[in-house]
Amino acid sequence: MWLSRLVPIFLKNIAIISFFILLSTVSAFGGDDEINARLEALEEELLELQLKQSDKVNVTAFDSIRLDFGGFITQTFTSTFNGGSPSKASFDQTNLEFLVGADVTERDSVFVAVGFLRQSDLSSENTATNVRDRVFAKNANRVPGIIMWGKHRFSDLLDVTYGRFIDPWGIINIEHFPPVLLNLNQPQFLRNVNPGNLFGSNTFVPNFLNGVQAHGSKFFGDNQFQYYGYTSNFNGEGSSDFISGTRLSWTFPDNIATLGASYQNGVRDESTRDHYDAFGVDLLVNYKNFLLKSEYIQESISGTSDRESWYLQPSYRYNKWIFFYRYDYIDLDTDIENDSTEQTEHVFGLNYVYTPTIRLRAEYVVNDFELEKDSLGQERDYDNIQASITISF
Amino acid sequence: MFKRILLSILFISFSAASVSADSIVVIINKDNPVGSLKKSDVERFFLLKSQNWPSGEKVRPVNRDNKSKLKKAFIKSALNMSVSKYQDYWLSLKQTTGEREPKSLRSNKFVLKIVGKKKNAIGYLPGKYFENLEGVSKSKVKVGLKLP
Repeated sequence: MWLSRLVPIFLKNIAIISFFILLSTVSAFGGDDEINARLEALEEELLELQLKQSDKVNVTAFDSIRLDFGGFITQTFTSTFNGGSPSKASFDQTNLEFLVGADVTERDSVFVAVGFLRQSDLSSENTATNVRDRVFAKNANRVPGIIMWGKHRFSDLLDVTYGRFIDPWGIINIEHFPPVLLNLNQPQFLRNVNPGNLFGSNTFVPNFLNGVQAHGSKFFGDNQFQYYGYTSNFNGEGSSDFISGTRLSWTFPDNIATLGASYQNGVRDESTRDHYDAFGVDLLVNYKNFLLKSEYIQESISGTSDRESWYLQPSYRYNKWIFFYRYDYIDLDTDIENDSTEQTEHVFGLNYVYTPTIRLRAEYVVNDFELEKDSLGQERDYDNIQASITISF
Repeated sequence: MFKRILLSILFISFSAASVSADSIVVIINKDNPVGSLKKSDVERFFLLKSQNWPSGEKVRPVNRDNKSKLKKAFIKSALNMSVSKYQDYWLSLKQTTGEREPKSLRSNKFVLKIVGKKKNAIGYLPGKYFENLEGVSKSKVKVGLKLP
């Protein structure tokens, strides 16, 4: 037993000693700058490898030709208040996600994102009669399988993804992950209107899809055209009804602007068999340190009123600081004006990108309801302050 | 003393001028049927927006390491990006698609060697370094594009 442990250590040491003997021998004969430079580079590579390699474990891919492992952790702190009502505050979200990507062949790859969430949703104590007094729900552990797909790449013109993937709708939903988001709270149409389930189905369109997707891109001169087409279940949980959709986008030279349009239709609720059609347009402008994102969505659901939402989010980067503002409007019943479903959110935010993988955020959110009082005559408007940090690895 | 300071200033100015005047050459394997590249091709390949050569073979871009000034200059001139935007781009792609930045190599020699060996590879080198090269390694690659 002791011999089997000793032999690899002995061989490893012999290899290292031999390398350095070779190094010194070549140096002794040296004088050739090229050889020395090359040996230096080799030595650096070797040292780097030694540093990266753990003493006890070597990680290797089973059958893939490339295996990457990463992830991120996010912690948020939120405080909510309005006028004279007492403030409530909480370390309301801790989110750890692991990401694994592997190339199985030159054309086939898989990607998995698994999340571990500890979350306390912010909601009204009683939505129907009292929206002023909000509470944080009891903490709950959630382990959603966020993304898990396989992909076969035929060419730049066509790749096919199957499994659970991000809904290719608009701009922000495609970006989706906290390490790259200026604001952890997505625009209202992508969030649950009634909190309670982070990845639930009460959004205009689902955040994720379970199904099959075709995607491709083609360059026309320096302009890039991209398309997505997919079919899936609405939220992938027990539904036997299907939705389908498409997204088309056009990117102008030097990525200065991208114009997109998305369409989706199908059955969103198995029990009520509500059929819906959603249509959206979006614009991304990327000029030097200035970035503008904007999306508009309009949705019709059978048996209920239409709804619509849009946002405009300009941001400016100065060194490690990013300043942004988001105007975000939602109306869940376009037939009635000034009703309780019309809300505008103003987000004033600041990001500090300490390193590319460590991002700190602070934001002030003004929630402005069109219908100012609830049925008890209390003010509906409220403000939030949120601070968060995301470290990705 | 004055003479020494003057000489130092002249030397620093000359060094700075020679670095900034140095161009970047994008190299491909000599057996690659593609004759020359446009700047937009290079951008697509290094950002993985396009992953195939016209022949259908997968493109294998090789980068210099993050510490190298060459990489920073390449990001700016070939990819039209600031380093921070470039980092954000890869962070975003990693998180959403699992795609990874092309492999980084620590020396120009390694870049030359890989591109010389792999028919589908593409890399970049300092113009002056490439001009001064001699021998077998140089004969295995060709210049696809010269960036100012």
